[in-house]
Amino acid sequence: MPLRNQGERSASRVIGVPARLVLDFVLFASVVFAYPFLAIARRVTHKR
Amino acid sequence: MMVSAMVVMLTLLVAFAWWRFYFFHRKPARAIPPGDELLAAADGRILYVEDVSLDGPPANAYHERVRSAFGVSGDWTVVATYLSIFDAHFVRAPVGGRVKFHHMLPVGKNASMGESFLFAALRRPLPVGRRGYLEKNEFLGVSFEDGPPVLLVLMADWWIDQIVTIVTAGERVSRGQVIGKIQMGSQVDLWVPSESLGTPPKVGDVTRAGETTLSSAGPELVPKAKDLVKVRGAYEDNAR
Repeated sequence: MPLRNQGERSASRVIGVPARLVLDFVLFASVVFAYPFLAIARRVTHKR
Repeated sequence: MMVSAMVVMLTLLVAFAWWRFYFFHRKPARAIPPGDELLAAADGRILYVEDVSLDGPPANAYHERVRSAFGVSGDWTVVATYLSIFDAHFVRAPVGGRVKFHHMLPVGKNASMGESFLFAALRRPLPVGRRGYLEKNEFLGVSFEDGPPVLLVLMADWWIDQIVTIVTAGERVSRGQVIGKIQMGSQVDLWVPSESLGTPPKVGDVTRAGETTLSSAGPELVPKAKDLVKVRGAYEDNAR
């Protein structure tokens, strides 16, 4: 039987599921749009 | 113009729904390498590797939290793995043994790990001054009784949904077996006794839970996905 921890403090409980989904969408869109710029920044600033 | 904007928005919404309700929750099968070398516990990129002494006064509150949660002392090496939103979030046992859980409550409210994303994406180590969340956020510690002295810290992000443990306390797990899942969490710290890592991974290296040994982590995915198809089935697959 799975043991679930920490859900009582989740953002879903604190701000509600609809707000949480909006937040997740903002997070997702931010990351998707940020990746190309971060890839450029990585090429410019980082040499392995 | 209006139509183009709507198409972009609709595409983004469909992609979001696919990621949020399907892709994020995937549990890929893994070809667990034979032997007893330490395995990566999580998919992601190495955020930092550092040596820590838990003897005497701790360097910071996070070290003190780990010491009190696990009841350990001595010198350790910490390998922190950052899980991006596109990484599989199932956590696997780096070693075999009987699992023991150590739940640490947050100090106040959980803090955001947003900066970790930027540093991981830039393949840069997360500066010590930007690790405040380690001293505040809730975490679930996992140790392995009658196994090698290895500690896992599953760290919750601000918008943590749940850290789900798929095995029960006291259950014996095999090396590479799925033990839990972080839902929207972002960091897994692997604590091992100092100097027990032959070749520690470097910041920015990619890891795959249950498949990458810590000494084989590299800047790119190794082995590549197409090679995995060939080797899958060659080893026992402990995915559950």
